[in-house]
Amino acid sequence: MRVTDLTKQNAVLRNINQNSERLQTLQENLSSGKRINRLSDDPVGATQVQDYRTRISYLDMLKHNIKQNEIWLETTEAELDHVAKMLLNTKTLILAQANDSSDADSRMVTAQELRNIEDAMIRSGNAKIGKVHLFAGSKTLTPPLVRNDEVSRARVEKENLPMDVKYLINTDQYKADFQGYSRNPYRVRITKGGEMGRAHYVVSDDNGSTWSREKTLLPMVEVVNESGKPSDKVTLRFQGELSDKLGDQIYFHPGLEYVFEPKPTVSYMGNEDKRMAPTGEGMLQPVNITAEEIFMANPDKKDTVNIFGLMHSLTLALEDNDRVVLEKRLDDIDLAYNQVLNKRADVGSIRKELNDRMDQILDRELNHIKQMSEIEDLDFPAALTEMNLADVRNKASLDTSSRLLQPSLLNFLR
Amino acid sequence: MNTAGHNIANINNENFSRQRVDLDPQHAVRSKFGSGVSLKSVERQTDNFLTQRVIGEQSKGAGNELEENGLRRLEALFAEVEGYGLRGALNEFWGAWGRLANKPEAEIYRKDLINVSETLARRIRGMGTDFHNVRMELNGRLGERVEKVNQLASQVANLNARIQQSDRGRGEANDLRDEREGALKELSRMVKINWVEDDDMMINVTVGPGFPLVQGRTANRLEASFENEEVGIYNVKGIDPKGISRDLTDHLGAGELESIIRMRDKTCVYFIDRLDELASEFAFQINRLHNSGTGLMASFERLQSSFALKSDARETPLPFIKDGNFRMHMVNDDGDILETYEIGLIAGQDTLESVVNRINTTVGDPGILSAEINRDGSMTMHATGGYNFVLGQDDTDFTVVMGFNNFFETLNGARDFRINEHLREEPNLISTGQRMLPGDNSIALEISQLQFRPTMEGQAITFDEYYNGMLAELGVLINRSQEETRNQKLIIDQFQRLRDEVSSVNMDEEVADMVQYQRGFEASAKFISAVDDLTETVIRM
Repeated sequence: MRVTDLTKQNAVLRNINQNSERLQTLQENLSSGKRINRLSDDPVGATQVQDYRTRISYLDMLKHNIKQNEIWLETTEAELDHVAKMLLNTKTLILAQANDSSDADSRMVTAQELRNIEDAMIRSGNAKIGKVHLFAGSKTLTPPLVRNDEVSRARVEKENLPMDVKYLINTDQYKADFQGYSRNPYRVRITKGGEMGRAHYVVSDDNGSTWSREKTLLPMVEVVNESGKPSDKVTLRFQGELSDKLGDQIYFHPGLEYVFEPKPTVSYMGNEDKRMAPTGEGMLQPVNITAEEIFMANPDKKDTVNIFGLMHSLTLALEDNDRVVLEKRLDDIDLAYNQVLNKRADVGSIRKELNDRMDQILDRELNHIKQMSEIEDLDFPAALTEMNLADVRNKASLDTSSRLLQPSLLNFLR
Repeated sequence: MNTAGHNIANINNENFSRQRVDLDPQHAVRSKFGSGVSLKSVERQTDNFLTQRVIGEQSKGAGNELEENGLRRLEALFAEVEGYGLRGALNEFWGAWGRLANKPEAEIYRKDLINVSETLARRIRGMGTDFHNVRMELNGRLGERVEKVNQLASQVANLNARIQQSDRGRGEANDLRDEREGALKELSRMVKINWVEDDDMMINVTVGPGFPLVQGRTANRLEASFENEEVGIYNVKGIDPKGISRDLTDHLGAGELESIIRMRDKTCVYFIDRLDELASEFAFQINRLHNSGTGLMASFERLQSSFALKSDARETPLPFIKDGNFRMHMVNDDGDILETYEIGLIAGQDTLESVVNRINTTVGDPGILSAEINRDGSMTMHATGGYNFVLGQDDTDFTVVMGFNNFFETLNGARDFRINEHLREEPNLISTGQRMLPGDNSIALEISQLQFRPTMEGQAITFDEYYNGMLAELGVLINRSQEETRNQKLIIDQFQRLRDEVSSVNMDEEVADMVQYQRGFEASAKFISAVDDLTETVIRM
């Protein structure tokens, strides 16, 4: 092999270049602490790392949401606790009033207390975080519980009147209001025509199937069917003038009916939507309880109570000094209490579920970080050893280069 | 001695071939004794085969190197490894939807989503523009390189002429040949060349499918012209002496020119297309969910489509729509839905005009809601009766195609990818649920779950996987090109070394030669002085 100066030079340069290239890579890796600094360092590894980053970012979002829901559920729990406590309180009050030792006055005072408790319950049901109502389903920006007016306009129905009368009379003159709350579809029907105080009427509490005995029509009548359900203390009041423009007394035609639209004391205005919180890929956790579930009776489930109805009837019984009703409804208070406690337990299990998810997420996050580190992080001891080796190699090549390049025949001639 | 000096002086000249003096004994003329030595010629020490290989391999090497550089430019644009790239922005985007889904009533998450989405849109746009810039830069470099080829070609032609002239007188031609080889080497880096030396010692160079770049003393020109179908993109043409041009763009074989063209027309275009597809599909998938939902207590009195149709397109059936219904709800100030209109569409039949008619007949009362086509070809829906309207479920994609309350907007893919301006002004318009229920997060949930839903390439892979595919592909391309560059460099080095073994200068040799000539000179001088002594003796006698 003929070795020339140019080949020597090129060989030396090439070797030095290779060594410093290796050194530079090692230096870059060591200073960043990463094995992958560029996509091309390891295309597959780099994309895997991307995936882990995405997973971690996703878990981050779940963590954030679970923490948010934690606050939500804590508030929910606190409100439910509050309602349960109020029910216990009610029970104590009623127990005290349901014996003979208390009189009408003390019952009147307790009635007022019960009204206050009912108001507090509505406030709890309308509780919110920020502007968001907790118990409203997905209609979260409007209060879910609304107290209905005690007084409502009675609907006048003339379907049962004889043809000639039906189209002649003006229903406006029969104006009347119902006062009170009831679930019963009451109907008051005139059976014997006549003016106020002469005409007779009957009452149905089941939309016209059974009727009470006949009574005389007065400006204010209690709507009750003695043979049917217990009295709701609903009254029908005639507000209008009892004589028409000509001064004649208004004649109540037989067949004329006053219809009461059943209404609770408090209505639920929200909906049944569940608030679904994402807790994992394809996993959704309902995190809300609606005021309907807490306070309203569910016709499909036995042992459920309309708590506001209960409160109302207890208040009425206290005002009426009616010990028997108070005693009768003690069991219902227990049912109501259980109903709230059940919901409280539901919230507890949701919280536990979220807690478990949180643990899982933290585990998984740690796992991902470890796996990601295994792919992209530098094995420091190995890299340092390699660095030393590369350093030695570099020095050796520089050293030999100086020996290879320097001497020439020229140095030795004379 | 002169030759040795010349060799030593050129010891670091890469293209120099060492020269040797060919000596011949001077034959005796009518005498028993020889009459000394004569200088027959000075010859270059070269191996033609090796020289050819060294020159020939340059094209591949230079091409690979350029390609690797170009790919590295693209790699830098992805900037993913540090987590600041598109993927990072995507992660943030999905996270923001997830958080908003958890609390659709919260304004702060809406604003956060807008910010994050703007970052994402900016990154997508930036990437699209950067890719495009890299491509245009390559295009510019193509023009430069073509000029350089012309320069080198005329250099070779020039040298051809001078070699032919001086080859008869010998001597100087050695160095000219070295220079010509150097020029050829440089030329070969630019473009793959074939060359032959003819009887006149002139080298003829052809490029691609037989285009004569150098013919003896004349060099023909390559030209970078804008005759491409794509505006602003160069074509490479060869123009022969008769002025007839040939398109050589796709026939350059190897070398920097070919690499630039391949990077420009294949690699860059490929990545630009993939990015555009990702951007368009991404916008479409988000929009079709977004447009069938409602925001937070936000309704429209007037809603104009983001996209407009040219006048001739108004009467042709709308593209991309499907059979089905899209719904609109009239709402009051409290967000209660008063009336729902269902408008049925037939794909491939309904035009923008017929849709407008359908809306107006379905509503049946211009005093409630009316639709119309504007002069610029966009469409407007306008509630007039004091109540506003919102969009409902849409199975037809009509609202997406026309851009009614889109989340993202794009016409050309990545480069004009942006968020709907109205949403930035009014974050409550971001759809999270349906039917105006403020706590309903169904739409936000579905959008945030798009992250893991296969949506791309015939619903086979997710957005992330698609993007990962792009990344991995680029990484692998770089690795391969790196490998090839390294290999090619080894090959070139190997041939260069072999050539150097034959042709380059060894100082020791030259010094030894010098010493030898010096000794010879001294001996000759001795001989002369001996003859002188003899002559003197004779004279003194």
